[in-house]
Amino acid sequence: MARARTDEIVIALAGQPNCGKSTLFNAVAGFRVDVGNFAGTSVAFAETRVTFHGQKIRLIDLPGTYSISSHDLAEKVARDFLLSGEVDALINVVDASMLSRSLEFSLQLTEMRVPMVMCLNMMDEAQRKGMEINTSRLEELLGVPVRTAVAVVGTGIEEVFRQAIRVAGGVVPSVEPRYDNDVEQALARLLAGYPKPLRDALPLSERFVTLRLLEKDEDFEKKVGAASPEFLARAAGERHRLAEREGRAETLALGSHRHALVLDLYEKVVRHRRGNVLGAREKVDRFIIHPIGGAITVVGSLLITFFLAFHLGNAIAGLVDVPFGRVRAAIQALPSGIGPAVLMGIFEGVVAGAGIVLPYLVPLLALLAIFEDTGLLPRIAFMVDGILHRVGLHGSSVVPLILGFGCNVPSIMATRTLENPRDRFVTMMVAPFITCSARSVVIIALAGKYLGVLVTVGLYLFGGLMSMAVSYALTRSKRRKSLGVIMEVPPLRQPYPKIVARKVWLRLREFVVVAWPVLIVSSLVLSLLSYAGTDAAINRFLAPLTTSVLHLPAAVGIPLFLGLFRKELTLVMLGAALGTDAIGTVLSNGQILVLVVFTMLYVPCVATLAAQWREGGWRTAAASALLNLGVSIAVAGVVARLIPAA
Amino acid sequence: MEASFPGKKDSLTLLELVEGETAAIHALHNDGVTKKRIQALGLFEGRRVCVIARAPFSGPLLVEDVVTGARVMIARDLAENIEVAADGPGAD
Repeated sequence: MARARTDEIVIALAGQPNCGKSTLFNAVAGFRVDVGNFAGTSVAFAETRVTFHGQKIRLIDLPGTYSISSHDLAEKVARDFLLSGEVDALINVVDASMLSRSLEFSLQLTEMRVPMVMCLNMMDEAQRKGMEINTSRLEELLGVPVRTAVAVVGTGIEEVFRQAIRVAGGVVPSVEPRYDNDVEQALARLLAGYPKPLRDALPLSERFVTLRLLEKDEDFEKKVGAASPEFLARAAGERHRLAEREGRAETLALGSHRHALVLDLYEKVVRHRRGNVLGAREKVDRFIIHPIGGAITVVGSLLITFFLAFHLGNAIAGLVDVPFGRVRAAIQALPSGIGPAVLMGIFEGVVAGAGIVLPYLVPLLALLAIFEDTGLLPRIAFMVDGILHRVGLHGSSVVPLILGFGCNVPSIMATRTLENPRDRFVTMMVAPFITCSARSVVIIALAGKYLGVLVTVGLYLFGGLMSMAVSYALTRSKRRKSLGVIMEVPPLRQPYPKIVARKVWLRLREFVVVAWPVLIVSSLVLSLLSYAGTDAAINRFLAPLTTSVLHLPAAVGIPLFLGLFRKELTLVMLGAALGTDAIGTVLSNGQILVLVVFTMLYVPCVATLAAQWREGGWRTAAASALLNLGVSIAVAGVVARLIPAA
Repeated sequence: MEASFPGKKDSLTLLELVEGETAAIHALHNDGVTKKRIQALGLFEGRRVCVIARAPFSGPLLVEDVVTGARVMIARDLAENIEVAADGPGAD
């Protein structure tokens, strides 16, 4: 593979999900990719350009994959890229604490004959587990340099890259691990007659290509079949013989031999001592997965989340109240005109973001990141899967749904991790019914203030029940069975502040760059509308809904309309629309309840709709909007009629 | 595919395995795609596993690979199609 050495080399990171690949990438790249502890987070691949000791590197983070089969699209994409000849060196990142499972993938990678370095990541975790890994023996057996690292704290990374640069473009693995006799003899027979046309058509390692055929890799069968149907038939014959001897399906025959080889490699390089730190951690883990302990954990985590979000949120919101109040007073003191109207609109938009959403969003995101990083989230998924299953969802939907409490937008984006399109669609439809922080603000400010704590808690429970009911109704009518969950449960880990901070920032950025500008613009539009006096027209237009169905004053039309842009605008603008901040003097308690229920349920903000459009197409967004609108009008209408005082 | 294995004990499904008892995975009778998903997470034929816990409300099983310590949660309807051979008393 003589490849002209340009001044830039291409290094690819390959590894299984949760191996810390993204962490390693981020350590080199800076703030670029989301890192997660939840199986299958890195779906797309990211790249960055860095200079290391004067060497320019194009670093590519391939999607996390479990093997190199062509069944899974991500695996096929990653494999094809590695075989394309574009890659000068490959860094195989491995979770050292899970070495036996990862070795199988590493072995497959060495068979591709691409220059490679193995990075044993999470060495601290492996040591805690009582594993002693003989790295030099592993180097000998696999024929590639093996370096250790703890990527989360940054140790070992430099050395891994130094090695990668050293092997780049030339040094392929120095040995090829041998399978047992049955396989090696079959390989020898096939390789002896490897046809030249095939060699020319597929400029890859002959042993690798033959192994892929023995594995019945459909993609390679096609490629080889095009160049040499005769060789393909011979390989099929050998594969058939292997499978027969094993009494296994042909697709599994080679796998079981490789499996044996890997177990043998593993036993040669790893010794187990009984770890003692593991004991305490294991106890915690046992508590979490016990039905009662688990219930305590799930309920406790949710309570802590809300408690912190609101107390911390209130505290932060309180800090900015006074300075914002001064600015507002100063603007109001200006003579009325279009200038001050614009200024006020922009200002209120900025305030709504900084004073209302951010204070509640940040603590929520931080807790969520901690839950993810420690491995608590998959455990919560484990505990609630049974319940979610009854309403037609399953444990994998937990992450998107929990994220929804912060903001529905990241929640919609997180549905990417759901492999089944049906689950994804249902989760996207249910997510807008989750009470996001913006709606929480409305609930807390209105229900909390005028209706009392019990009603507020009741409203949250009601919100939860509504989302479950929606999911139940959707999946009932679709009658398609949800795939049973199968998900990795990574060991409990301590959270690393750096990673938590990065995660909070990444999700916060979505709010800051996507939602906040919308907020500011809509606030500006409102200010101008009211300056031009058109707000009355909107109120009149919405009157059938507001007065006839919901039994509310027509003036709430504008706040509800603005809620389409950001839900908290409903609150921000309510005082302005009603002419007083003392809402209780204008609306009865029953009317406040109707208003809150309607706000909770009607169409999520435009940002959520945009996310749905992007992730699931306009049909999904439209269906979701109609569903929310229908449910909200029906439910709030009923509430308005049930409460006589309204 | 009812191959008989030498020394095969009374075979049962992963779902029926008693918590805390170890068994070797014998065969995955799941459909092709599901089987791949299961194997991708390390549950292969021959692996020795142990059921750590069962989630409430007919939720998934938490299964541990006893050699590597890796854990996977797996829905009951998937576990039902995984045939295992429990280590009876006096097994190796």
